[in-house]
Amino acid sequence: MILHTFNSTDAYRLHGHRPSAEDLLLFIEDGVLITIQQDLTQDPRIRVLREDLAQRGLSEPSTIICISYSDWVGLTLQSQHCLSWTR
Amino acid sequence: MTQLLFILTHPPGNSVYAQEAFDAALAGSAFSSIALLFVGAGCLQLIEPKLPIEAQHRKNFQRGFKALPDYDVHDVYACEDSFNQFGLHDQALVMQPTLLTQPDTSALLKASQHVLCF
Repeated sequence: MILHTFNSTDAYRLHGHRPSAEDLLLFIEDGVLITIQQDLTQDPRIRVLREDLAQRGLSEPSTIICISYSDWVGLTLQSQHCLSWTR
Repeated sequence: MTQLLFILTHPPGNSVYAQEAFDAALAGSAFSSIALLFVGAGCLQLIEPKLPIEAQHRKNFQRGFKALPDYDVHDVYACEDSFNQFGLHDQALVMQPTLLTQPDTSALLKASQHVLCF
């Protein structure tokens, strides 16, 4: 399993790699704006950093799994690689 | 087995990511077997610079890609989809990478010991 982190929605749209089915996609910083873009909320691989959502005044969506910083640490331990896609 | 895989995702010019990745790759090649993978807009780094250095206000670090075999770096890959997306088949390139499909890219990631994303 590979953990992909995206720090903006553009980083996600333009990154050019298609993650495998078992990978996880974690959205941090302005990447959490993905939650108000309905077209991507159906992907079960998506995780969103709860703290960054709260910082931006966004509420936690029921269709997406939100995680804390300590969950993030747990995910990095479970993953073979952590790839950071920035834009 | 590739010990260090460098993934290059940023285009040249608007940030130092591209130059830093190249410098890090050369440093990495001194002590382990490395591979480069160009993905997304990172593929644009492979286009031969057309302006003279004075007009670019930066170093033409991309010309250094030609020297990679001298540093024992022979595994240079690029994502085929990104290559098609940016129409790079028609462009003059500093070097020709091995094009990988998405399943090949995933296999390369799995087989690499460490991955550094720039």
